[in-house]
Amino acid sequence: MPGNRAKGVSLVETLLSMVIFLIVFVAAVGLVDRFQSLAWNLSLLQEKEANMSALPLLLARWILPAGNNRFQSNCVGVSGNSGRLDIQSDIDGPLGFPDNTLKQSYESISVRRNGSDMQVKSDQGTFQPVLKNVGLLQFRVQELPVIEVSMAGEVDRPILLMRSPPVADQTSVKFYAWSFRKNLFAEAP
Amino acid sequence: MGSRVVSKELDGHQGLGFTLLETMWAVFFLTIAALALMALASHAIRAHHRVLDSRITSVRVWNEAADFLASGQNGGKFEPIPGRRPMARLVISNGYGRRWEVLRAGK
Repeated sequence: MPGNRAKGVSLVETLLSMVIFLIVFVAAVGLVDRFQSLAWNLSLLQEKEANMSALPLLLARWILPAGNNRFQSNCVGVSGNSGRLDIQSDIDGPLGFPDNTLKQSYESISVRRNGSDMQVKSDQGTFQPVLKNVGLLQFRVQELPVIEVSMAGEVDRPILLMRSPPVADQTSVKFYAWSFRKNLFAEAP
Repeated sequence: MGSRVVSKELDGHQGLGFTLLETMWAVFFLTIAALALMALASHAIRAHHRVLDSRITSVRVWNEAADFLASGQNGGKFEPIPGRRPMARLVISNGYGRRWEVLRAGK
């Protein structure tokens, strides 16, 4: 329009504003994306940490009474190899006292790691998964009555923008089986 | 609005762009939002490390107690509890003000 300045913005101004908007948008998206990745990673790590906190408590419930057996009872108390632990303890009976059988709860338990699951078997039953995302579970029973358990957690989803070692944060927990006796003796009348 | 306008003002009309003040407010709010996100992330990371450290310390103390119990020797660490049956105790603490009491009964 001759004599008047055109209303609106010029092409250069439009392009410039688009470029600035694009830069700001990309920066904002990048910031939010990094924050989202961090929140995702923390969620995974927190999940792993919760597993590693629960595992010793579960094992303590099963392992600590191990070996509470009577003279001439047909069980060894504690046995196993690096990948499996068998715990036998005559701690209960129908009348509330040891009855020389291993039929009650928590009296005969086997623990192992299968895949990434910690599995538990009670008495003659089958192994059932108890805790998932267990990357390492090894037992050491050479120094009874101390049973050493090495454990590590893992994550089941990829950790973003972080290097994830295959087995990290390995922890060794020692359990003192206070009832375990290598050589049982006859009880005094 | 203000005298300093980022984009050109039209003749007799209000400018279509943002003033310097508006732009600075927008940048200010964006900065606050970014700082808040970073502060939140930092707080979450610190909380995670604190939980991790606390668990590791608890396991260390637990192992220490198991070793003491298994050793069967006093070693000057267990203190006898007077007036009780042969019983001794040991107090172990971590760096977070928590204390554990380990009791050992005599035979």
